Amino acid sequence: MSGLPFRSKLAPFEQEIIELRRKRPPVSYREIVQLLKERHGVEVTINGVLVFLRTRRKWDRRTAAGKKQAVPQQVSQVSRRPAPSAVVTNRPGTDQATPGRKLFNYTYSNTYNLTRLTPEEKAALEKRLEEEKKRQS
Amino acid sequence: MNSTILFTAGAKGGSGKSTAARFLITYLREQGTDPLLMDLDDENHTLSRFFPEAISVEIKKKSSHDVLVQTALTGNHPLILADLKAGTGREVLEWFVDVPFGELRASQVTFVCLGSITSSPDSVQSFLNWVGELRDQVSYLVFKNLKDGEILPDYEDTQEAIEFRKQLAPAHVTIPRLDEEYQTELERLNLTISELINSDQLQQGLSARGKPLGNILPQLLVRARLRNFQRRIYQQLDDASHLFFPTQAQKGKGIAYG
Repeated sequence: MSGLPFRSKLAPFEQEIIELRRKRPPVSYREIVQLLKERHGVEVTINGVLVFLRTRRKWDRRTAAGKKQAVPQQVSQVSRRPAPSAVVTNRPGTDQATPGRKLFNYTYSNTYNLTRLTPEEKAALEKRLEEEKKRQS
Repeated sequence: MNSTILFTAGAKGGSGKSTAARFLITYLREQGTDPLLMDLDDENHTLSRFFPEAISVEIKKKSSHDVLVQTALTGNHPLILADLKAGTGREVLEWFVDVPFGELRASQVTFVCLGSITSSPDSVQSFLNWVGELRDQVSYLVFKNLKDGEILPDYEDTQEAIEFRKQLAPAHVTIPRLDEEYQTELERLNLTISELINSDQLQQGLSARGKPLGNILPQLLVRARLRNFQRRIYQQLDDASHLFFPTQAQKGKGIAYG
């Protein structure tokens, strides 16, 4: 994992972003970028938001799995989202994975936590997975 | 010993889990196999309603599910179909996580996870909860049930579902929307489409398994529509037949159903 998540300028707005994504239908990443700029004057790219959320999820899972890393004191309360109680800790693909096995990373949750993608993001993900598959084969 | 355990992933209630199981059972029977049916849904007993021969398993505790593996290890049943309780949660999933899949694979016992999803986000979420734990230790057959809508955005457009489809290559069967009147009547009379259209006792108003057919279902055009409906599903199951008949590639291809 690269870096610790509290370094992001988006950390204070993490809950807000998550709430927007949890709405039905979820607010798109493009709209989130616009909202952040309008409400807080924070300029960030769509990819920046995506990477931020992904890193946070990894970090939460790692914390939940008991692999707590040293947390510097300057970490703000806002930036440290506790793992939701519904999330179960044994995360496939990180702790339990057998080397060389095909993995599917997903955290058990009783609340909706799927990430809706825009058509562009979907196409990019499918392309990336196809390429990975080709490389593996 | 060679046994395949087909189990319905503990999906959200009303996602068409037992409907999918019913089509699969009648399909397998029409292919000449007779899966052992185990009804682990001790609340609704849906499977037992349609198939009284199903073994009803009372789930007193998590380890009650051990019967699945024990039965498979006897080697007497090449196919076992287990219908789990709707909304089956973490506890049952933990039982599956404890299963030594690798060891069982060496004993030629394999697992196929039957998912059933609708346009409801919860149905996709609850299925992916299982996939996240079972990963590539089992094969997957996903029934896309269109009863609540033809668009399944949470399965088509979410990152997690796309990764699942690309990485674990599940087989898919789409169950189109069925006329509500027919659906209600089939449910009310505990009938499968198969036993309706294969009945040779229509004059007596009885199904192939001797159940009453009511007034609507025996009508010629109704039966024709239901036959077509079933055919569309069976044709898709043909494409997934490698999951049930691993040693017989594409068994059933080219069979004219109904």
